[in-house]
Amino acid sequence: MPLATPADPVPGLLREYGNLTRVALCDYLGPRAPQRHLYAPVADYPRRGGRMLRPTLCIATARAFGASPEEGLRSAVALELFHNAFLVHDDVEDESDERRGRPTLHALHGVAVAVNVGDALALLGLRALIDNRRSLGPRLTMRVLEEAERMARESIEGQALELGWRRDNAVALSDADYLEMVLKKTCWYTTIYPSRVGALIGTGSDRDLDRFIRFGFLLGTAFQIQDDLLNLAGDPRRYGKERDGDIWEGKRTLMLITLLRRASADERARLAAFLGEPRRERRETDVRWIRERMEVHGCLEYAREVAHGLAGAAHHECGALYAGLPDSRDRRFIEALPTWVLART
Amino acid sequence: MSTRNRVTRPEPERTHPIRSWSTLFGAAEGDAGRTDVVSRSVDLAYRVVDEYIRQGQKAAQRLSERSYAPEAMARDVQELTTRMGQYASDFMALWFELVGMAATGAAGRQAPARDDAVRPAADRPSPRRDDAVPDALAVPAGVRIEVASTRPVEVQLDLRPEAAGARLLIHALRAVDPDKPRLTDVVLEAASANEPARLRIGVRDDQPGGVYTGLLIDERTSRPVGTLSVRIVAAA
Repeated sequence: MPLATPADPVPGLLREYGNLTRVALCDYLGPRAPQRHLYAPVADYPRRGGRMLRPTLCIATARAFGASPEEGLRSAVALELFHNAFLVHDDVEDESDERRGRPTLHALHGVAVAVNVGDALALLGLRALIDNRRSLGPRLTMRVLEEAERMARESIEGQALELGWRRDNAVALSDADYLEMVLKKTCWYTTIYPSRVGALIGTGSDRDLDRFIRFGFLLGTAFQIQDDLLNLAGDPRRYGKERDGDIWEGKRTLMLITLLRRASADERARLAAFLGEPRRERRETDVRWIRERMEVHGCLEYAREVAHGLAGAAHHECGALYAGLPDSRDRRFIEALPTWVLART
Repeated sequence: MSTRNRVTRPEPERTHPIRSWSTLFGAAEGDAGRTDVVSRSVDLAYRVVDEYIRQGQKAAQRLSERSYAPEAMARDVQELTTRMGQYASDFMALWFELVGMAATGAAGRQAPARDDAVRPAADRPSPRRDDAVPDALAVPAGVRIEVASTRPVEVQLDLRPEAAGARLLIHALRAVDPDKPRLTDVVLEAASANEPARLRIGVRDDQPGGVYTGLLIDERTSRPVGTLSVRIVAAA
């Protein structure tokens, strides 16, 4: 299977299915009471934009397997609502200051309102999945709901792993620990679930859905590592989060885990002391020092190489999954994703 | 015949094809360190995800082989009840349609689209006044489906409009494979003044997995007015 060229179909389809999803999202984000403390902030994150990768992957997979865009639409809308619910709660848990170039929801409205808004977004996502009945019928709707339940469970288990590492100030982590955490926390809801649900809707059958775990994991992990690299080295105006925010938060990225492994004993002790402090007590000089040590020990380069390797493997798995399907824009979109995740800036 | 020596390529140093993930994205050849990182990380990633999938398959196998101790049986019965409730609610809307047609003498009309038939009444457009069900026909609605099975079972009941108000019969269900025994424990009880119609299906533990189908017959005309399909998951 030839590799996708840089002029791939990804941006076009992200725009097309993203717009389709945004329009359908309005059904769930319309003006309702109480407006000020609930539905206005509920609509805030979804209206800040975003790449729409998850809903587009869901619709494209469904279409590649023969479904109409409408059949995948409610599941795509639900994904976007769940994604925003996770973001609101993650920002509280990570004490983040910025999201998509603006202050986080809890920074604007306080933690209590933000947590409630996150709950509301998750429930609206559930509503969108129930609305699948109209296009998918009761049996398939129930199967999609079961998939959503598993996705949510895997994601919160992954989040628990990462929060636990931070709470216990874990500093002896391996690459395997990192991969397991990302599989659960990121990959399930970013790539595995959209692919599985798309295939479920497109084929009407839940046979062989485990095949999508391998592809989604390899693609999703490459995506996450690239995302974490952008946090350190990307353009903050395009990336939308505070530069070096992951270091400030003590997030166990592949770069940080590599630094903990490669640093000298003295460096490791200073790093462990920094990670053991509450965020508000961390100093900018330490953040700059960690960033510089990452460069010195080649942690960013190492992570880039791992991301490249995983994207290559995702491309290989993609061939096995989709090669038998007729050529289509949707299939070409999926095949081009491993290249696209690395080319993001 | 030319006496010139043929121009040939030198023998490559490699002894086998180069299959490296890193070269897919144009990594510099000969960068041994880089290739090593990529190979090791891909290998590790496959080990992590394969172990994860293996754990999931083991869990699924455990579930399909679960023992029938009292506690496990109680859980199964609970699941069964939930499923039955789901089936009953799915068919409730269909039954409303049928009763409505019988009331207006429209039994010969084309059946509603399948998707509409299973859509709960609250989601459908309000019926026109002349389609509304008169109060006098407010008989107990719905088909109560009761399944006794130790394995997951999917039930699909399709009724034609002519089935409304008819006294129905059903015989044993057959599989496509003639060697499989019939599913005999299928009973359809007509609705009474206080109870909705009841379909009871019992699946023996030794019944082979597969799809079993049968016709619902109008007792008066002996004509088929619907089908019943039962899919039984094969025993692990």
